[in-house]
Amino acid sequence: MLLDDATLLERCRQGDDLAWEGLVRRFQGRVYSVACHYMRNAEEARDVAQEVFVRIYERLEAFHGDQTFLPWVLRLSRNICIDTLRRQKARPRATEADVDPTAQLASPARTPEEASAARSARDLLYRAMDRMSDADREILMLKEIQGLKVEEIALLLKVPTGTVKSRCNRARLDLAERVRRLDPSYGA
Amino acid sequence: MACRTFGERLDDLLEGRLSPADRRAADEHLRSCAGCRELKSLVAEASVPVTPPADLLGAVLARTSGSACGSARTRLCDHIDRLLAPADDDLVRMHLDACGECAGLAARLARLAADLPPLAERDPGPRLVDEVLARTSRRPALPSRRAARFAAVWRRLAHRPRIAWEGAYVGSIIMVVLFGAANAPFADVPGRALVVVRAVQESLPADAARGEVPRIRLAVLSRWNAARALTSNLERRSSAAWDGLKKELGTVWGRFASGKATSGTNRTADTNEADRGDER
Repeated sequence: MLLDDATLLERCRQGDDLAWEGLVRRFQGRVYSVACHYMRNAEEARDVAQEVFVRIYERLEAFHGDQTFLPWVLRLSRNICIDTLRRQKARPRATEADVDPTAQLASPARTPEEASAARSARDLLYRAMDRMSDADREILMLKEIQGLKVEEIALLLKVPTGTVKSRCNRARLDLAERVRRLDPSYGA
Repeated sequence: MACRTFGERLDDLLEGRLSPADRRAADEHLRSCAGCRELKSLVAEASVPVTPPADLLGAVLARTSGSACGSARTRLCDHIDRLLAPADDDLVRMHLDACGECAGLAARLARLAADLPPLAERDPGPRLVDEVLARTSRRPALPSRRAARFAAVWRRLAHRPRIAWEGAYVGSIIMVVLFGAANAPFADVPGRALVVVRAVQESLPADAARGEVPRIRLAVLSRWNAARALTSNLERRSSAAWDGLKKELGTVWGRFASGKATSGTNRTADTNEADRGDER
């Protein structure tokens, strides 16, 4: 049975190195995914992911048990990504090719055909999302991909919940339209 | 049966709900009345369902509320997420049954809802965990890190060349603020201390003071002897260390000098050989 996040955190706070390693392993995919969405460059995303975990380690004491850990981690990841992007503002933005769309956590239950279909679907989605506005990509990433609640996103982005809902619906419709343009058979 | 009565019972006649007696009376009336026969055939034709023209709905909406697709699309995401009230959900469903474009969009949205969540995690490769652990796990605990950071700041400050000047300056200011100014909190302390010392000196009996002097002298002498013993011990140790060092240095210098002499001799021999060659 897997340890729940709260127990894992408590063990980390007590200085258990093994628990800390477990926590990094558990959340590395999430953090790296968020970093890839913002940075759009695999190497930079890895550096940012490292920085996020170092920051988590330093702030373990500051994390209150009444919060949920994942939204806290995602909020921290987003803030660090935005800070990093601000610092490199003068630098030209990397293209989508810098992030390997196949670098997804593999599911061992998949047959080769299913895995191939899933890979091409992911590739299609990444290409479609890459053409969206930053705001729409961000809200899709937070709500539809990372699964944050509307209230959590509203708190994070400092906008009303109604705005989050309407922006998210608009972004989903936009993505569906972009996907149709790239592959008319998608969803048929 | 009168024509009016026939008209009132026409629906029941067509749907077979009349009693046998009423049905016979209605049939008799139909045989004798051409107008009611025509009415019956008209009503019978109208009750057969007819498929409306394909563009009828569009034409009506265009002349009234406009296309319903926009309204349906605002509710489509909630329909996919099953967040709509039952009545709204039925309305969207009816629209999707009739509108191919919106149905296609709904199908793509449903597929997206399934395809997006798996993108939540990406494989950062095997290095990330090791790199993070290298930057975190070997670090000391938080309080000791803070203490170390605090100590490092002070060490940096103390190693600055100006620290002595700055310390003296700050110390002087503190002394002036505490004792020197007219309204300082301890302005009258030195004066009072002087008064107290004088008072004690005057109140101390001369004999008692004279008796204390040898004891004080003895204590000072014993401290002085202990300090001298410590100093000579240190001196002895340092001179032994210095002798060892000198010996080492002498050995190194001797090796260096002999090496230099040898190479000088070789160099002289080589030069002589070369000179001899030139002469030949």
